[in-house]
Amino acid sequence: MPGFSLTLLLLPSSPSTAGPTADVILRLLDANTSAPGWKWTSGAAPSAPALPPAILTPERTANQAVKVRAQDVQGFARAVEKACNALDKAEPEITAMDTVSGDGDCGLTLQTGAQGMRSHRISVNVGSYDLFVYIAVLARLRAGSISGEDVVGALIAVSEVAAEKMGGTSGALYS
Amino acid sequence: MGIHNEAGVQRVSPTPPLNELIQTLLDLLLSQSDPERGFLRIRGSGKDNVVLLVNNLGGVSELELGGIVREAITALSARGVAVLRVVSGTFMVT
Repeated sequence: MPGFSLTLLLLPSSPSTAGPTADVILRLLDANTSAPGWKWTSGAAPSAPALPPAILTPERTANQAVKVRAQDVQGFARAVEKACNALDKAEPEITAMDTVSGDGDCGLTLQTGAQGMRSHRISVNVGSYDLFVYIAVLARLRAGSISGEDVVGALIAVSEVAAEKMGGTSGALYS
Repeated sequence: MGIHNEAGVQRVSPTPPLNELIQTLLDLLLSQSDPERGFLRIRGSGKDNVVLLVNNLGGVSELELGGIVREAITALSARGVAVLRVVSGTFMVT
C-alpha cells in the first residue's frame, strides 16, 4: 500500500556500555549481502541535504522578455524555414546514425519538430514588418501572446513546438 | 502502523504535507514522556547517533521515497540527532 515507516536504531554512545560498539554495528550493516530483497546501502553517512533548487516560475513570457529585433527580418524567416527543410532532408541519415548508436528515432523526432514548425503560419510582427514565420504549433493559441517585435518571442514559440510536437530526449532538451 | 489493515495509531485526513507528517512521526518515535514508547533515549544533545531505516510499505515511488529520506534526515538533524547511515527500501510491505 502507499505509505512508509520510519525506524531509528540508536547507536551506543560509548564503548563502556554492554553489547557491541557503534563501529561494530555499522560494520555489520555495511557488510555485503546476497539477500536479493535487501537494498544496496552506501555504507557512509548521508551528506547534508542540499537546499532545494529555486523554483522556476513561468513568468518570463514573450511579453516580458527582452525584445530583440532581427536585423534582417526576412532573413530570419528564411533561416527558420531553411533549417526545417534541411532537417526534413537529413532525417534518413540522422535516423540511420541513431539506429547504430541509440534507439533509432532521432531523425524522425527532429523531423516531427521541423514539420510541426511549418505546419502553421503565424504572423510575428518585427518592427514595422510583418514577418511570416513558419513556426508552429500552438501558433494560433499563442498568437495573441506573441506581441512581436522580438526574436525572443519567436524562439520561445519554437521551443514550445519542440515541447509539444517532438518526443524523445530531443523534445525535452530543445524546449 | 496498521500493516494488516488495523486502524493504526491515528488517522489523519487530509494527508498533511511531508514535512509536517515527518514531524508527527518523529514526535511519536522520540517522545520520552510515554513509558510504553519512550524507550529510545534520544537526548537531542547533538551526541545522538542513529541509523535511519525508511521502509516503503510497497506503493511509494522511488522518487517519493527519496524525498521522505531527505525530509527525515533534515528533521532529525534539526533535533540534534545525527544520522550515520540510511537504509531505505521496500523491506516490510502490506
